[in-house]
Order: sequence, then C-alpha cells, then structure tokens
Amino acid sequence: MTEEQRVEEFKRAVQAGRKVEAGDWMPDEYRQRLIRFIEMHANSEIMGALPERDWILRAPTLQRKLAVTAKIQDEVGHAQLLYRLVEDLGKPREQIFADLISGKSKFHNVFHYPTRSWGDVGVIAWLVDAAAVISQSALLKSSYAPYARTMRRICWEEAFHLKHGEDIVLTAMMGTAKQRAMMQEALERWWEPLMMFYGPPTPPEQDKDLAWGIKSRANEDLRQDFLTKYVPRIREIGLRIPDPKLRFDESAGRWVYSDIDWDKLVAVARGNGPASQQRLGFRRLSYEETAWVREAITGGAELVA
Amino acid sequence: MQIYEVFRQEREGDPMVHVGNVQAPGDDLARQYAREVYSRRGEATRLWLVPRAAIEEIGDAYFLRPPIERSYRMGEAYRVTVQKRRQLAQEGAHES
Amino acid sequence: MRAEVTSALGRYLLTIADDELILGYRDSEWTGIAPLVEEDVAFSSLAQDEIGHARLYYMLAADLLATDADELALGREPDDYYHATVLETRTTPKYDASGAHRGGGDWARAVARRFLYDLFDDLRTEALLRSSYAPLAGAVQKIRREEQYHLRHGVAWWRALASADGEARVRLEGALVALWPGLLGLFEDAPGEDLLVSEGLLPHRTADLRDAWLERVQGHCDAAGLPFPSERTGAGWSIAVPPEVGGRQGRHGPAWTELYDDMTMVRRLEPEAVW
Repeated sequence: MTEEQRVEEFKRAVQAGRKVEAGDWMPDEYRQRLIRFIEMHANSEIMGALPERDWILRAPTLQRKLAVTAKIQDEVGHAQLLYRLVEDLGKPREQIFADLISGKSKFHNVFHYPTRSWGDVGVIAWLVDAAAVISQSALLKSSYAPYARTMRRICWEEAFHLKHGEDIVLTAMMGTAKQRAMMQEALERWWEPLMMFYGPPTPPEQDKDLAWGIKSRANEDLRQDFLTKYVPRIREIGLRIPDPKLRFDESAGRWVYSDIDWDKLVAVARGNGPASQQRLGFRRLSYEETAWVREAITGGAELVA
Repeated sequence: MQIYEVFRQEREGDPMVHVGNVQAPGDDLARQYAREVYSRRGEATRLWLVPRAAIEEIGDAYFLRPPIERSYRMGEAYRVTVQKRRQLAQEGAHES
Repeated sequence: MRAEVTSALGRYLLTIADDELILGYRDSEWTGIAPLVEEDVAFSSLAQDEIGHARLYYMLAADLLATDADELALGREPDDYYHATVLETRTTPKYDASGAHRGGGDWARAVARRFLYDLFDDLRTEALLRSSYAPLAGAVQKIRREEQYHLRHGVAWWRALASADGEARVRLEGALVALWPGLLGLFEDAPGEDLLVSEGLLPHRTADLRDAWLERVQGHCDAAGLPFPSERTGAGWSIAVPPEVGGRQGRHGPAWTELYDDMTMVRRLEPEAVW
C-alpha cells in the first residue's frame, strides 16, 4: 500500500466512525490539524482565565468568591488536560507557550475583550460557557479518542460554570435597578462576541477539521443551536438582546440575525481585539517572570520565547 | 515473576478500564497471559499492561474528599437558580 | 458566657478568620498565572481552602456577634480587620501599563509565606483543639485535616527551591529575610487573649506559640541549608529585627487599602443588595 492509499484509508475510516488513540499511526496532516485544533482550545482555556481573574478579588460574597475562583481554576485545569494531549501528539509545552506568546498560535476571539463589571462575570460564566458547551459537546464525537474522553470531563465541569453564571445573572435581575442595568449593559457588550463565537458559516464541505472528524458539527449549526436554546432564556428574565433583526423564521426553521462583520472577527483573532495585546503582554510577563521556577524544578530546558 | 495490572478498552474510543492482573516472568509472556485472561473471547480492542510496582496509589480519604463543604463547586448550590428563573419569568409575564 | 468573654472570643475568632481570609485572597491571585499549569490548579485549591476555613471561623464569630459570615468577611471598615500585616501584601508581580515590573513579589515569597504561616497556623490550631468552646474545637478538627496537606505541599516547594542552586535559592533566601519581621508579627496577641486563657477558652496566648514556631522553622532552614534569620541564645532566642506589629489592632499598610478596595468594590456599589 502506498502512503497515499494509507492516508485515504485512514480518512475513510475516521469518517465511518473509527476512533484513533495516541499511539496509533496517523497521517501527518491529521496530527498537525489535531495539534493546531487542540492547542487553540488549550490556549483559549488559559487565556480565558485572564479576563475573569480580575474579579477573583472583587466577588461580593464569600460563596461567589469561592465559585469564581473555582471556575477559573477549572479553566486552567482544562488547559492542563489539553496541553497534555498536545504534548503527547508531539509538541512540547515550552514550544506551545512560546508560540502563544509570540502570537504565532491563536486563542479564541471571545477572550480578546475586556471585562468591565460584575455583570461580565455572570454573562461570561453563563453564556460564553454555554456557547462553549455546545461546541464541546459536539467534540465528544471527535475521531481522536483521547480528546473526546477529555471533553467528557470538561463538559461535566462546564455545566457547573453555567449554573454559577446563570445564578449571578438571575440574582442581579431580581435585585435593584442598578443591578439589572449592570447585567443588561454586560449582555450588550458580549452579544457580538457571542454571535461570532462559532466562527463564520463555512460550508461544511470546505471545513477540513470536519473532514478528518476532529470536530463533528458545522459552525452555523452550532450557532443555531445556541440561539434556540438561549434566546428564550435570556428574554424570559427581562434582558433585551441588542439585535433588532433577531427572530426565528418559522418557514425556514432557523434564526435570522443582523449581518456579522467577519472581517472584524479575523482581525480580533489575529491579535487586534480590544484587549488582545494587553492579555498577551500579561501572559508573556507572567510566563517569563516565573521561568526561574520551572528551571529550578526541571533543571533547565527552558525555551526562550 | 512480576505482577502486571491490566487495563482493557472494550470498544474503540472507550477509556481504558482496570480489569485485573496477571503474573509473568517478563513482558513477552505477560502479553500472552493478559490476552488469554482478558480477551480470549475478543472482549478487548486494546490492553495496557503496567508493572504493579510502577503504580502510585492515592487512597487517602481526607485528601481525596476533604471534610469541609465545597458546594460552590457543584450543582447542589444552584438548586435555587431554577426557582429564581421561574419567579422572574412569572413577573415578566405579568408585566407584558 | 459573660458579655466581655463573648466579645473577646468574637474578636479572637475574627483574628484567625481574617488571617485565613487575607492569605486566601492573596494566594488566589496566582490563579491563572502560576509557574506551572499543574501548580496553578493546586495552589488555587489551597487558597480556596483558606477561604473555606475563614468562612467557618466567621460563622462561629457571627453566632456570637449576631451577624452573618459575609457581613464579617466583606462588610467591615478597613481598620476593623485584624489579620497580621505580613499576609496582606501581594506576592504576584505587578506591572504598569508599559509592562514594567512595579512591585508585588514572586513565587518564592508566595511559597515561603504560605509555608511559614502554615507552620504557625498548625501550632495555633493544635492548641485550639483543647479549647473549651466546643464549636471552635470541632471546626478546628476538620480544618486541621485539610491543613496537613498544605504543610506537605509547603515542604515540597520549600525543599525544591532551596535545593535548586542559583536564582531559586537566592530568591527563597531573600523572601525569608523580607518576610521575617512580618512573620514575627503573627505572634502579636489579640486584645482579650488573657481573659480567654483564664476562662479556659484558649489553652495559651498566641505569643506563647512563638518559640515552638522558631524551633520548627529553624529545623526546616537547617534541613534545607538556608540561613536562619534569628539566633538561639541559651534558653531563648535573639531576634535581631523588631516584629512588624499592629495588624491585630487593625493597623495595616498600603497593600491592605488596595486589597480592601478591590474586595469590597462590587459590594459597595449597592450595599443593601443581594448578590
């Protein structure tokens, strides 16, 4: 069998539902796509700790303080699980961090925005995590079995984050006018990043990650799911969604919404979002300033970013 | 002779689950014995053998399940969330 | 319980609770930026544990003072907090807008402070097991079960940094020197401790724990080959530096003002609201 035939056979097998383990033979393109996909997921988890981190000190009750800290800890924990997968696929952690800090690899667009109030803590934990759960649940069917298994644990934990975030929002919506206004204002800022969350509606046949079975559902499908599930829940509690065109088109069986500026998404993901450079700068500093610790316990092997 | 703990995957994509152990003088025979004991009816898609001596066990109950409540990490702390939603939805219905 | 005893016990419980709360707050700042992703998760749990312990102590105090734990933890005026000042400084590095380092600390200081505080807290809680106030003795029993793992974590890092030649060791030594006066300030008595001792609620005063602590710290310094910042003189100890006191009286430094503002920021927006 030629290399090319072997690759084709592998591709047919994963499309037919074959599950791949870390030690199995895999085509180089599959390995590289897995690395890129999981690495971006991992980077997003660790960069996602930064916007919420500022609120660890500011949570208004002990229970909220503990829940916010535990939630961010979970996100870092997810990064740890995912970095291990990437390392097992052949990319060392020092290199992963070097690429993150230099901007060579990416992290999710939703983490390129600043947080401005306690409302953001609720909206992020509830709706950003809800959006994430929808795409992560689709990854339970990934052809790469270690990733799919890791996702079981991650989805389980995300369910608690959603509850924590929803409870913050609901409690404020039952509170004073100022509290309600805080939640409304946060939702208005986060709506656009949420609509961009799954990326542009790339035709499924052009999406190579779908072809390799790394992910299992198309971007627009995921967005429609999110809207179906969460638009009623958001409206029901008295929040207004800042999109006058948003409605469910009964005849087409899908949600219609205002045009999304996909060029803006590309710019944000490339590091030109409102908080991109500040976040990367902070990550770089905190990584560089702790290099001596890693050196002390591993006896060197530190890669210069 | 060495003892090997055996982990089995029963279907593609499943996690490796501990099923037991075998005793063997070395890795090669351990592989044979593990297959005979744990997959002679083809129950496994894959087996892992780990020398028992390589296993680091943590079985300390207080370490694994610390005694002070951590409901903030779990769902039970948010049972009230459902009630809050119901109340807000009702208020909304009255207003409109 | 007589009113003055209730009030002294409430005040003492606040002192312990504040110590745990403030250390937990400061250590939680490492969440997301610790030196290793694995350690990030571990250190965050230690911080959460401390806040969980603080909450237990606040609940005990709230019973005596007829209020609630959140009100005590986040609703007091800044000079009504009684933690030792060494716990209020930040150990995470701080940067200005240009990215230049502007104060804060480093991982060596975080590790050293936590470990040496935990050694102190171990002695304190060991004594509190013998308190005649049953709710306190009961809570402390649970808390100590968690704290023994904190000590193991602390020893592991203490040894790891001390045994690495070069920068790690230099930083750990530097942290020890910088923290020393503040650590000695942990042994400042809370007002009313004499009364609590005579009533049997406390086996002995906080100040009485100091020599046992010095002995343990010296043991850990010797084992790791680190210079011990004080000297033994016959039966006692020669302490070259004056301890940094005032925390137990509600007197704190600028780091506390900054932390207090952050801790209470959301709450102060709408003080009567439910969050």
